[in-house]
Amino acid sequence: MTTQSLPSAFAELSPFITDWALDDTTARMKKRNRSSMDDIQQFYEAMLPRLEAALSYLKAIPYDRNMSAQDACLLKLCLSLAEITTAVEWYNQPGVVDGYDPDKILVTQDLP
Amino acid sequence: MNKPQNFLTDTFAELKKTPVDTRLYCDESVFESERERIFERCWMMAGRVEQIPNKGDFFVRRLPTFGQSLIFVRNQEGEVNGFYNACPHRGNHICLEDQGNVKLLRCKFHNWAFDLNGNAAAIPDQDNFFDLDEADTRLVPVHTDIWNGFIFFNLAETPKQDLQTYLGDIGDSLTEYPFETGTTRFQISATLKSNWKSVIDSFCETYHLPALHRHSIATTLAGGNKFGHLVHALESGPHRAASVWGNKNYVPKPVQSIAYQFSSTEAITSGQGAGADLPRGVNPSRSENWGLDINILFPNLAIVIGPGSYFCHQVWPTSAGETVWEMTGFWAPAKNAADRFVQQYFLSELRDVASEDLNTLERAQENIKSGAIKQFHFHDHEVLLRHHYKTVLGYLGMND
Repeated sequence: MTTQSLPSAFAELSPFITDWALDDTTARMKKRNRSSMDDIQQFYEAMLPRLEAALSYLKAIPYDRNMSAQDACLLKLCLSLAEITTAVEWYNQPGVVDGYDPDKILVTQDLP
Repeated sequence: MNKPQNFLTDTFAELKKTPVDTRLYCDESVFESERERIFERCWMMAGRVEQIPNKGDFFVRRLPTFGQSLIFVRNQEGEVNGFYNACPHRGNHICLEDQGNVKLLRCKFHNWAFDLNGNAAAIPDQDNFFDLDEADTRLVPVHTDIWNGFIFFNLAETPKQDLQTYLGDIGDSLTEYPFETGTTRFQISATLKSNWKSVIDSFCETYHLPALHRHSIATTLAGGNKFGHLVHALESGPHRAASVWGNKNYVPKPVQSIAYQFSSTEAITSGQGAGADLPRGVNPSRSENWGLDINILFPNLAIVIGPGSYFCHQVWPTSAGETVWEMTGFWAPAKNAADRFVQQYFLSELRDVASEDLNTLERAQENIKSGAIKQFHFHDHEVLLRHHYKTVLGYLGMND
């Protein structure tokens, strides 16, 4: 297994790579619904102050196969943030309040 | 009592205001009748033309309602053909993959092969068959037509109307909407213990917004609209549509706000509000408080159009009390990596909001199936549900 890393300007987010740099929506959904609120909150609070900078950086990167592994890793962290944001901003708990069993919601076509 | 003077319900033709019988939502004999008189006769959406841009491209559409699947393929002339996914020899599936590109459609059972118009192209050792009629060696076609890039099919031997006539004015009013730019798709699915009509209905009223969606979109969509009233509602034959209120004063949450900020300026449509430049069928009442539109194309498709993108709900009943629900989001392809984040953010929101709806469906189904609840009481702003009820009764030849 190769070790993932981030563009140097975002190196401070490296401690979150192992847990949150995930490959697809299903993996992100699973991670969210099996994490504690503390872990989610900690990730959210680390990402939020860097999000505008990260997106400004990613806006200059074409979204295709030529993306560097480091840029892809930064994007993956942002995609996990997109997954867990509602846990923090809407629900104050990992899952949807009175939500449908997340394991029964299947991703039948993921975003490319 | 401060009763409103003008009821939305009165703007629909021949709608009663009495409670409705929940038997229509749980009785298996009703469902059998629906399958025969509605799902075997109405035009239904199978997919988008962008899924099969090139000659020989195909996709398979599973039909949970019938326990079978259809193939849609683009032929050499660039037209889309639909067939049952069934070999006329011994009935094996022709396509085992969900999508792909082929020169010939070939059954892997005995290597019978068919051209893209369904004609047999190769039958191994054909001389040793007995009186094989040409008609018997063709793939069984299904009526297929296209509206706005949506591929529709009709299982009837002879559809009563062509697709354009069937979709009527609601179809006409959306023809200029640029559905074709949303080529990036995302789909989630769940098998719900609920009647199919209830699943569609849950996306057709916003009276539930302030309560059920109190943690999520209550303030986005119903802020300033205490009881979640619709902005507008209309009927168009068996089809129906509503415009949902958008709270112009909504202040987004931190990450949400950044996601909005990075939303592509080249989104599918632009601008919230009256939108004089939008197609006639988008925000049809040209309300300043427009949030989004819900268009129900009977029987099983909802096209939800908001500023910037659209998404669909589609339902496939398998019994009176079970429905396969699919939600598909469409975006313009991400030009850069920040776009990709925005797409992911909005699909998370969409999925979580839908997740808030789903438990109510299964709980209600429990109570109508057990007979605890024998009637539904529809509010004036649940008028689309009442129209749905009336439409289904009409198809079944039943009286209210």
